[in-house]
Amino acid sequence: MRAVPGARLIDPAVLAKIGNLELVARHVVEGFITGLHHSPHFGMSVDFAEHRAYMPGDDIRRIDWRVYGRTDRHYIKQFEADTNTDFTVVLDTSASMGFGSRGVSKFDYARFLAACLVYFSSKQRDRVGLALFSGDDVERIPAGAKHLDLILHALDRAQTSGSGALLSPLRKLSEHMRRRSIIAVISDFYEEASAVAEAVRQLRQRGNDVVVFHVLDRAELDFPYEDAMTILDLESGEKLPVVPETLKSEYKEMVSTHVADIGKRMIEHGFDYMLLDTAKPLDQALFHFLSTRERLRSVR
Amino acid sequence: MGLLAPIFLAGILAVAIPILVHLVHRERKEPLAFPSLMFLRRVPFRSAKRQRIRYWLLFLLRTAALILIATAFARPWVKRDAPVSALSGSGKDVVVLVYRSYSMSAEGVWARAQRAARAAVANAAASDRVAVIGFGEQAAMLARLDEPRAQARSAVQEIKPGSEVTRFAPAFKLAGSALANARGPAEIIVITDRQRAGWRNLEQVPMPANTTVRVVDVAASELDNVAITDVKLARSQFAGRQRIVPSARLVNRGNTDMVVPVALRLNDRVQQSRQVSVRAHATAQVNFDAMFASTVVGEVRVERDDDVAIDNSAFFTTESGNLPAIRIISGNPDASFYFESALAAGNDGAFTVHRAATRLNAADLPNTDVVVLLETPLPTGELGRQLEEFVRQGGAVITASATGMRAHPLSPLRAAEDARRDANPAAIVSIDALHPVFEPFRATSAGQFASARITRYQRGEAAQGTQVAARFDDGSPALLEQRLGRGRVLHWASGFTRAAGDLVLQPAFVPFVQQLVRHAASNTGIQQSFTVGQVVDVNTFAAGDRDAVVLTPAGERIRLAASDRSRSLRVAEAGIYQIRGTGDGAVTQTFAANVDPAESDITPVGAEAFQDAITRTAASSNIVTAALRPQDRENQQSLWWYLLLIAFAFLAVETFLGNRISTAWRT
Repeated sequence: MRAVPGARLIDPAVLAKIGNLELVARHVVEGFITGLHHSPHFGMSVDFAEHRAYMPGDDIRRIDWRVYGRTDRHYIKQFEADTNTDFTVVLDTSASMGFGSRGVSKFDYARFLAACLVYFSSKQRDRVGLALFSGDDVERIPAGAKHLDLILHALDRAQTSGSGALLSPLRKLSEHMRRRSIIAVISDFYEEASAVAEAVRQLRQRGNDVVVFHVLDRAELDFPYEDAMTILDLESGEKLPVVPETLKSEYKEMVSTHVADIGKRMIEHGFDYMLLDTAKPLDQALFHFLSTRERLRSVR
Repeated sequence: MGLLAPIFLAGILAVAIPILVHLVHRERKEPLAFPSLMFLRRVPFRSAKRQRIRYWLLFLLRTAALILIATAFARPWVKRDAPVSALSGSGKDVVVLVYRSYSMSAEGVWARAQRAARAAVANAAASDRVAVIGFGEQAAMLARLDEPRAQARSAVQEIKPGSEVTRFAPAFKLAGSALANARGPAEIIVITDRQRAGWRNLEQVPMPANTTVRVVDVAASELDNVAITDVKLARSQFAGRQRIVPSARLVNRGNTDMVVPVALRLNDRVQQSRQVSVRAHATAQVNFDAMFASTVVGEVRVERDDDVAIDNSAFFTTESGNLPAIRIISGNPDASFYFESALAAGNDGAFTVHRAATRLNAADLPNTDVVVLLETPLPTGELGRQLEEFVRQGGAVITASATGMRAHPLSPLRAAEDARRDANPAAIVSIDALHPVFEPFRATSAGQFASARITRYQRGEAAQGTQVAARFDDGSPALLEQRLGRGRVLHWASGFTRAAGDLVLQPAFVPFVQQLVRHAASNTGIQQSFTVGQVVDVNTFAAGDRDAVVLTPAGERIRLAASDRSRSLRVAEAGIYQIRGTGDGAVTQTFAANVDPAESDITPVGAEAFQDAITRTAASSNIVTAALRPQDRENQQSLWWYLLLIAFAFLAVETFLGNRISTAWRT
C-alpha cells in the first residue's frame, strides 16, 4: 500500500521516544489526516451530513462560511463520519505482548495504535472505549464521548502480565457491550487459530463490527538467532534450550502457517484482519482502519 | 625456501582459535525472553553435534592472518641462484671488467670480448645496476653503477684495445670501490684472454661481501705472432760523427717456425731489410749495417701481417752531437769504485765518462754535462759560483756523501748531521715510484731497495722547493732533487761505498746508478725510449720556465704550462712523441715509445687455474663466491615485513566485516 504523504512521521521507534501518549496520538492522527486531505490517491470520502452550531474547541476549518455569510452565525459542517458510533479498542496486555527486538515492544506498538485509533475516532465524534485483558482479567472503560483522556491515561499506565488466552476475557467483554460497536482487537494471538477465531467470534453478537490487528515482532516472524541459547517463555516462565540453526526453518514455517490460518479464519467469519509488523509505521494500520470504517459506515 | 627461526611456526597452532570460534557453538549465557514457546516446542528435537563453519570469509581472514604472522616471525627467505629480491624490487650490482691491453687486439679476440661485454650488459636484469671498467695497466671507470644502462651499453660499444700491458690489481681495486655501496649481492664479470703475463704482481684486493666473480674467457686457441721486443743502438764516435749500429730482437710467439722480413725504417723510409728466421717459441736477433745518423726517427718493423700487429714495430730516435759527458770527482778511489763500475756495466755508450779526478776544475765545466761529486764537498767561492752557473745553464750535479756535507746553496739537504747506525742499519723506504730515477723499479715497488742496509748517511731536512724521491726509515731524505734554472742537483744522502752500507752490493744498485746518471744527463738531449705506461718528465725535453706542447703519435696536442708543478706525461701509445717548448729559441725534442714486449706473450693461464687464482684472490679478499648465507639472504629479502603487512591488512578487513555482522545480529 502506498504510504500516505505525511504519514512517514510515525515510525514507531520515533514515537517511542515521545513520552506523552496523547501527543503521540494527536501527532500521528492529525498528520495522517492532513496527508489524507492532500493525497491524490485518497479514496476515502468524508461526506457532508449536516450543520450544527459552532462550539468552542471545534476545528475552525470546518466552519461553513457560506452559512455565516447568510446568517451571521457560525456553523460547522458535520460529516457522515461524525455520526455517533461506539468504538472500543480491545487490547491484549498479556506478558507475551511485552516482547520487542527493535527497541519497540509489541505492547508499545499496540498502545500507539490503540491511542491513534481512539483519538481518531474521538475526533470523529465517536464514543470511545477501551478494554484491557490479560488472562481472565478485563479492565474496561465503557465507550463514552468524553472518555478519550481516560483511555489514553489507562493506556499509558497499562503493563503487560499474565497469559494471553482470549476466550474468557472476550466473552466477558461481549456481555458488557449493549450497543452496537466497532471493536478493534489488538493482540499477538498466541493460541491455536481455532481458539482465536472462537474467542473473537464472541464479539460479533449485537452486530458488532470487529477489526482484528495481529501484532508481531519481526524476530517472531524470522527468528534471527544463531547462538545456542535458552529461551524463556514470557507468559509461562518455562525455559527451553534451543540451537536456532537447527529449528529456524521449521519455526518460520509454523509461524507463517499460523498467521495465515488466523487470517483465513478471520476472513471466513467476516472480520477484517491485518497482520502488523512492529517495524512498520502506523500509517498502514490507520489506513486499513479508515478503509474499514468507511465501508462500515456506508453499509449502515 | 628456508626459515631463520622455525620455532615461531608453532604460532600457526593459534589457527585453532578461529576454528574453535567458528565451529563451536557460542552459547548465550542469559536466557532469551521470547513471547511463547508455542511453536518452538513443536519443532522435533534434533542433535546439533554436526558443526559447520559460518562466515567463511571471516574464518579465512583470521586463519590467514595468524599463519602470516607466525611465518613472518619465523623469518623466511628464498634461495635463488641469482639472489635478487623480487619482492623488494632491488636488483644486484654488476661490474663488467674488460681487458683492453694490446694482447686483446689479437685476431678475433677483441671481437669475442666485445660480444661478451655487450651480452653481459644486455643480460643484466632491468633492476640491476651495471658498471663497465676498462683496464690494462691502469683501470678506468667507463660507466658507473648510478648511470643509466645506456651508458654501459655505449661504453662497451666504444671501448677499444690499447697499447698497455695488463694488471689485474687496479681493475679489482676500482671494482671494489664501485661496489663499496652495493645495494646487495654483486657480481664482477671479467672478460679476459687469461694472459699469463697479467698475473705478475697480483695484489690482494679487499672486496665487499656477497660478491661473485665470473670469468668470461675470450682467449684464442692459437695465435700467429712475431714481435719486436727490443731495439739497441750501439753508439760510438767516428771522425767526429756519431756512428750507430742498430740491432733488434724478435720473438716468435706462435707454434710455427717462421722466416719473416724485418725492415729498418728511418724517417718512414725503408733503409735496410733482412729476412730473419725465428723458430717457434724462440727469439732471434737481426743486425743492421752501421750508419752515421743525424736526427732521425727510426722504426724496426716486421713486414708481415699477423694476429697481433701492434708489437710488430719498435720505434727509436737518434740525435746528432756529442754524447753526454760525465765527470766524476772523488775524494778517494774507494769512493768512486762502485759508482764507476755500475756506470760501466751494460753501458751501450750512452755517455762519455771521464774518470775520477780528485778535484773539480772550472776549465772542465764547459765540456761536462754531469758533474758527480762522491765524498767530495761542493766547492765554494768562485768555483762554487761557476758550478752554480753551470747548473743554471742546464748542467747537472750529482752529490753523494755519507759524512761531512756542509751547508751549501746548491745542496738540497739542510741541517745535515752525520748519522751512524752500525747496530741498527737504516733501510730505504718510501720511494717515489713516479720519479724518473725509480721509474724502472716501479713494477717491483720498493722491494728491491728495502733489503739494503745503510750504516752511514746524512740526516737532515729537504730544502724548500726540493723534491724528495726516497727516504730512510727514520724519515730523513735519502734522494733529493733540486731544480735550478735549466739544470738540476741530485743528492744521495749516503755514500756509494762499502763503508756506507751494502747498497753497492744490491742488484738494484747498477740500474739505480745508471738511471740516476741518465736522469741527470737528460738535459743534454739524449733521446729516451720509453715503454707505454711509463711517465716522462717533460722538463727534460723543454725548459721548465716555459710552456711545452706535446704531440702524440696519434696527433693529439697536449699543452703543459710552465706553472704546472709536475710536468709529467704518461705514455699512452706506441710511436714517436714530439715535445716542443714555446718562445724564442725553442726546439723540438722527440722520444720513442714502444709497447711492453712482455704483453706480446699471450700464453694463457689454464682456465681452471685462472678461475682458482681469481677465487683465491676473492677469498683472501673476502669475496664470497659460494652461496650467500641464509642470514644475508633473509636480510636482503626482508620477506617478514611483507607478510606482516598483508596480515594486518587481513585483520583490518576482518575487523570491519566482524563489526558489520555483529551489528546485523543486534538489529
